[in-house]
Amino acid sequence: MSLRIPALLGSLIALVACAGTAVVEPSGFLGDYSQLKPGRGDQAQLIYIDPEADFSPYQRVLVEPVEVWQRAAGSDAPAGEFASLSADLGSALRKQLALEFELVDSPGPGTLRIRTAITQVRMSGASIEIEILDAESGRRLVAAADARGEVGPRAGRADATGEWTNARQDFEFWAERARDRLAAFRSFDKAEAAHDSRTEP
Amino acid sequence: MRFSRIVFVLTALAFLTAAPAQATSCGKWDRMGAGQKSATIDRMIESVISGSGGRQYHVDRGAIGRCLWGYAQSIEYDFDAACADSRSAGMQALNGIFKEYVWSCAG
Repeated sequence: MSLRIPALLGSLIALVACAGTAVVEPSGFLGDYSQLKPGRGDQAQLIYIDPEADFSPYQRVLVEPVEVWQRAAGSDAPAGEFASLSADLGSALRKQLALEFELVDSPGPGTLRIRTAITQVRMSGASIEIEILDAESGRRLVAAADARGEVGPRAGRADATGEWTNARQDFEFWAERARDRLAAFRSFDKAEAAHDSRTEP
Repeated sequence: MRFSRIVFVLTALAFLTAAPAQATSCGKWDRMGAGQKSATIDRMIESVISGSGGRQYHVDRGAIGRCLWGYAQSIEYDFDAACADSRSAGMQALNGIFKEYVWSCAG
């Protein structure tokens, strides 16, 4: 089984690479990638959602400082840019999540802990990995790795400003999606619990 | 007293017949007819877009709902497949599949 997972990831990477879309290459930030599988549609390229997770109690989020886990090859941005880029991603996450959750600085009951790493910044976009855990128990609820933008000849012309605007737009995109998805999960679990209490004796 | 008891029974009956059976497990899912399965998935989608528990809710619930309803048939197939693989699968397994669609649609 352990041999199949790298083979599966390799196949996914090769498949997506042929299409010219940026690919996810596990950086090591998430540690255990064995639970992740290719997402469908607009999902992250690799995704894990704990099927037993109940998001209904979560009203607070603890956003950890964004880390940088660069792949040896692939990032166009110089090392000096990453402090600013990771600050921007952290800021986008806090801004968006604050619309649905109370932001806190320490673990506690009903708190989600959000770990995020930038793994690549290209002219055309960025790659990140994100892990969402129960802040008290450390249980992994969601893990995902995603990449946006293109690779190849077109990618170099995608951001002529030198401001890494494509990557920063990707950060906003991911932050909004994190907010929407967590809010939707919470809404679903709350409504399901209410439904169960009405229909189960 | 007797009248109130009748009202209670009628109300309970009305509620039970209006609420679709829930997908608590593959055992229940497998016993559902096509209409009940569709109703169950509709209810699950309604749960997502009902918006309970949010602070301000900036999420476009209409878009999420339209996206999920677009996947409704696919969700039903996936539930059938999961239950065919493991008839003992419980609510969590089916909810997990459903949440993968929510993840896909939200945002």
